[in-house]
Amino acid sequence: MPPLFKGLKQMAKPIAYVSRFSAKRPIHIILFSLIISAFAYLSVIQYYFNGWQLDSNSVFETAPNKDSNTLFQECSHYYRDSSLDGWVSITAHEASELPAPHHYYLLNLNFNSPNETDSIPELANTVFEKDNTKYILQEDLSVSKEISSTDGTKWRLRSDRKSLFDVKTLAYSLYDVFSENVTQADPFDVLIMVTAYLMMFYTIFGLFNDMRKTGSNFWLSASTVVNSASSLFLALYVTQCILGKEVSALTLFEGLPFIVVVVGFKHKIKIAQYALEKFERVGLSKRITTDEIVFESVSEEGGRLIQDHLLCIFAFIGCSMYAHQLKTLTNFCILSAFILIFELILTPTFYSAILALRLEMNVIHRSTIIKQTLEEDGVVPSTARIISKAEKKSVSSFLNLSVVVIIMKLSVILLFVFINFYNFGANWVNDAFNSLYFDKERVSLPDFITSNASENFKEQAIVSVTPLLYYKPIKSYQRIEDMVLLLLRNVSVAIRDRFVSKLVLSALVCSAVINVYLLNAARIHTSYTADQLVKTEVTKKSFTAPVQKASTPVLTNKTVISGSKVKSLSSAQSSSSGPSSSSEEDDSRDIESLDKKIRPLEELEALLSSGNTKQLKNKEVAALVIHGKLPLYALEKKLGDTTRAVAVRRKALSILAEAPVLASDRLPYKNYDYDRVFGACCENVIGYMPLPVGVIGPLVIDGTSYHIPMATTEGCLVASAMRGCKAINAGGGATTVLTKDGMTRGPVVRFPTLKRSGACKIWLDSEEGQNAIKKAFNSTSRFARLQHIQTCLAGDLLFMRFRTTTGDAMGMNMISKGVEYSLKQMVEEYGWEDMEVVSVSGNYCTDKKPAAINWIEGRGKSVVAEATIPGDVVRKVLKSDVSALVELNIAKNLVGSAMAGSVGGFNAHAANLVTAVFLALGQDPAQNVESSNCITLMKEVDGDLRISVSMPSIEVGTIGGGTVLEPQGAMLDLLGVRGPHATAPGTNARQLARIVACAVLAGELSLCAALAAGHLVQSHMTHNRKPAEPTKPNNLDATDINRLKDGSVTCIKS
Amino acid sequence: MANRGEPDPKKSTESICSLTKPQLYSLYDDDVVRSEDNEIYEELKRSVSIDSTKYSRDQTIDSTFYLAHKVGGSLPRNTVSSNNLERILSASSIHENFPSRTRQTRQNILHYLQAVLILSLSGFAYHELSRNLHDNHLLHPDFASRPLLLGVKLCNWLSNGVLPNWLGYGVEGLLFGSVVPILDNIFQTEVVKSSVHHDSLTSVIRSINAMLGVTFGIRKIQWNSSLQAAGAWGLLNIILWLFFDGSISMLMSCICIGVGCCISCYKDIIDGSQFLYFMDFYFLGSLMFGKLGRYLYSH
Repeated sequence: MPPLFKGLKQMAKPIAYVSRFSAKRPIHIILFSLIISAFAYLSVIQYYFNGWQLDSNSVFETAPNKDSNTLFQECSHYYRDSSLDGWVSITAHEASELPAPHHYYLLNLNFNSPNETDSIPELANTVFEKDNTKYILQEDLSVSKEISSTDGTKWRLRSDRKSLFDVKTLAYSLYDVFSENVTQADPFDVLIMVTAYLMMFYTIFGLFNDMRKTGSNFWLSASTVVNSASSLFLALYVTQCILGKEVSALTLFEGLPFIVVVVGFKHKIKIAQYALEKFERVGLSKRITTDEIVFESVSEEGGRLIQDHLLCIFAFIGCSMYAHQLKTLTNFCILSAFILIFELILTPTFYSAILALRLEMNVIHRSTIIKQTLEEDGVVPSTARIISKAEKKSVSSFLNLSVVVIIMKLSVILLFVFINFYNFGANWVNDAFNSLYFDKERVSLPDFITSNASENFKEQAIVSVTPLLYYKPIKSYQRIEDMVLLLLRNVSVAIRDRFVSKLVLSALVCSAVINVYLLNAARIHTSYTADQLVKTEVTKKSFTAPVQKASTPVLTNKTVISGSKVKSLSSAQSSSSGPSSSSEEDDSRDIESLDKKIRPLEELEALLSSGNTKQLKNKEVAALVIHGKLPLYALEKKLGDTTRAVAVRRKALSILAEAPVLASDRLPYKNYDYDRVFGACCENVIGYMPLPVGVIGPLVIDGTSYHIPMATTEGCLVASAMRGCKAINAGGGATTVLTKDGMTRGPVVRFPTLKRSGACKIWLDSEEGQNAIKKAFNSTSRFARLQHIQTCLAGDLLFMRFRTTTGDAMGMNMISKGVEYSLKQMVEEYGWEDMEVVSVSGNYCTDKKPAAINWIEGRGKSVVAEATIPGDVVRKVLKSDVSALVELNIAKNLVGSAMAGSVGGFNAHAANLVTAVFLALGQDPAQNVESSNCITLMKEVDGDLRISVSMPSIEVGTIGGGTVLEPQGAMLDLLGVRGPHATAPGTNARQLARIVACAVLAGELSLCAALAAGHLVQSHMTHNRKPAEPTKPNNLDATDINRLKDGSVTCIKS
Repeated sequence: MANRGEPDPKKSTESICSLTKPQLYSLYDDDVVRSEDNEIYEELKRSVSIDSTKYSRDQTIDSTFYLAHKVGGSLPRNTVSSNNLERILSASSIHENFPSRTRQTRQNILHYLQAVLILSLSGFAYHELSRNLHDNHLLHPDFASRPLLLGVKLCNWLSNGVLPNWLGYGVEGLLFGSVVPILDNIFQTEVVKSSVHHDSLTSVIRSINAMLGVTFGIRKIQWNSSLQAAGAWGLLNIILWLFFDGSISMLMSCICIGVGCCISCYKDIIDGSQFLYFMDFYFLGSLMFGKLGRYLYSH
């Protein structure tokens, strides 16, 4: 249901601001809310169970004086004196007050054992014995905890009070109360309650289920429940303890499920869904931070939240006012209203903070995966770090690494809270049990005393009869139980110790202070640098600043200005920050270059050898390079600034290679993030080549629409593919299947004899060999999983074709590493010592060369894409004819290519689309050779055209290679497949392969249709007939016909 | 090919004579580079009902795997690895995207049968609820079920006594549940279109829960008078309508059904509170059935 009023959206703003505030300071908020809720919880429970008191003595139950004291209270006391005939029952108080000369204690012991053979111990002062019961008369009240009998059986006093099994008893008693209530109640009411509880459990189950769908298995759901529970306790605290409106446990039990179900958790689920989806969608673009995501999701979903809560609060308050005579109802309504108010307060605070933490964790998780994948794919660690760090910094405003530490701390705090709760809970169980099962009935004096009274007690005497004390043989589980109890008791005693408690409290305060300090430090840090990259840029600037100061005083201002610009820019958008800073720098250096003075070469050399290259001017560095004192390739390392290195290289090369064009701006080099290039994409960089990028789409692929970028300099290519998209969409979109996913590498090895080569081939083909190699290979990577090794023999040369999954990376580096290791293992472990590795790549892969093996066996992703184009769409959009298209496809793509002896070239222009998409998406353009392997098939189905492209060797990756560059990455973001897939590695790359195949499908369809249209025009001309209406392109005149004619000829020629 | 021999330089295309235009241009008509602007988006919406403004990442992830997931049922989507790739691929097929027409009709029929069955059962349950609704004053047990009884009598009369009573209650449930979806269909209100997303199982459960909660409250609480209880309920109903639905069509149908029930049993009403009770019970009942009907017919 939409919001009732537009204004509600505006009302959501304040709570959105609150949630942003909380998201920025998650630890503060969580800690604060938890402490408040814990306080409320304790107070509420204390209120409900008066028996329990915050009394530090209660833990010292085992102290002897306490024990005998309690026992004394529990005894039945009898008094007699000479004036009285018989025994008079007196209270414990009287018993302790009465001045009687004799005070005896009659211990009533029961020795009960399931095992008949256990002998009952002999005890002194036994006055009477019957079956397993012994009566012992003593003058002091002391009970030994353990008694051993003659046969070694140890008897332990079972005061049930100190048993974990009390919980069971308690459960039984609760069950009794419950069943009693149920039997008394109307069956229809019971039915309603059962249904309500079932619905409540369904709601909670639904919460976990829905949260799981959003990608959070447990924590978000759990914290949602904690959030609601906190609201409940806070509300209970306010209503009971502050307002004094009593809500009985029964009312709570009856009313709560209705409140839970009606209010539900859907708002929180929606907020979480929105935030996590948002993170997934824009997680890699630079501008958004976690608190902004939380802010946006709360302002989006907050309207409904406020509306529903306000409605309910209004209803409850109204109800409490309307029916103010009915106390129970009024109080419950007040409680419910407070629950909702606290929900409304806690959701933008506590819940938002949890959500923000969760997002931060996602960010860290993601950047770790990226770093790992990049490193496995052979990108040098420093570059991988730069990239993953940029990803990380981009989303998180602060915390980052400290988040892990903070989470650890948080869990420690939670543990602390839990222990307190446990102690408290255990005590409560004990006392509840005591109050329930304390035997109030007085133990009557046993017969043997009353009957022999006159003989034994002539004077005043008091006899205190203990309740029946049970002794049982010690069992092993009881020992464990004792240990557990002892441990718990020790912990609880320790915590409540007057010193330790203060220590723990101060540790808590310290932890909170440290957290606050860490957060503040992180915030100060981030306020200066949104991104680690920018930070390095800034430090570089501070290095270069003194030089500039020295050269021109005017420049100082500029540097300062540019510096501040960098700061503002960097905080706004880190992607442009690197380049922008370098452009500013270059500007300053352009001015600097007006200064003709160059220090003498010797001085420069001295500076170079002392490692102060960074302080040299560009011109001076160039001079060093020109004079051969500094190699070109070392510029990046020596200068520590990649953009500057490019500028110097251009300067030096323009002189060294006598290429003044490099001194001009014709090849751009500014505004580019060379940090990502260095060590990953290119060496000896002198700039970058801009390529126009067009976009086709929307193209519906398997029910989802995509906009596919294409970088090309061939006009009309994008337009023609666009027409193809239109036609495909009109038929309901393209369907794809992915039949294989495995990158290959084919090393070649040699053995001294053909026999050995043959033996090795047979071993490799055997299951044993395959498994051995798989084990070795898989150990090298998290992502690479060897699927199969194909072998082939040529003389004594043995070729192996390793096929493996590579996650979301294209994976050539990953697989090479595995192959190298496998070959090494073969030599060292599997008995092929005489094997000589000729080359790790033996062209049996086959990479970047036309080869039938890729066409037949597949390489990378094998995809088939298909679409059905309605006949009238073929005529109206494609301006062609179904049968003409089918005929053209057979003649051109099948027969023509066969005649040409083509391998995998049974298509019109797959390479056009593949290469354009590859260039736009940072794929390896050289791999268009095998990636363009494609057979296009067309047939007529019920007057419609069914077209398919089968591409067995599409080699793509969504991480590593050119995809690490920002523009290429942005284009992958456009398709929603950038980076490694969070949960199922390889899914993004597979999706990209499907997209490539569908782009080819669009291109093939469009070009073939155009060719067929040309053919149609020709045939009509030869037959000197007017073209049929539907097949005729719009308003054909003579020039158009000629144009089409020529075009088709040209194309067929090509 | 024959034309190759006699090229007319004047008529030749720009791509051949000046080599400045790519050859692809020569193949296409001029329309190909014409910007089509939003045309393609409109067509897209028409051909495939995809909400292009809302981008669902889940859908994009891997449709084949998703299909396989649907087919396989128990296969978890996230654990797809290369090892079970083949299995998954063999499980999926293109035809999954285009279920045949007969299959669709069969599914539809099953769907409606299911809806009818559930609504009838709910009708029966609703009758039981009405029989057990009472307060500590004027609302006696069985009182609220009078209009339902009247309906059953009507059914009996219409079917010449063939229809058993329990089936009568089922039919009533079916009618209650169908009124709102039918009205929605007739008026095609905007609210309905948007509320389709909201009438999830959870919302149905919440409305049932509200009904049960109110019944429980009426039964258990020691009201001062029936009028007080009925009045409280009436006020609560308005808020519940706002809370759960807020659509005018729902409000109108609920009020109509409520008033209709009051009129049908006006003879039995001896006090204003009873009138209010009828109104309240059938108002909330229609709200609940309306939501249930919308959910069942739209899913």
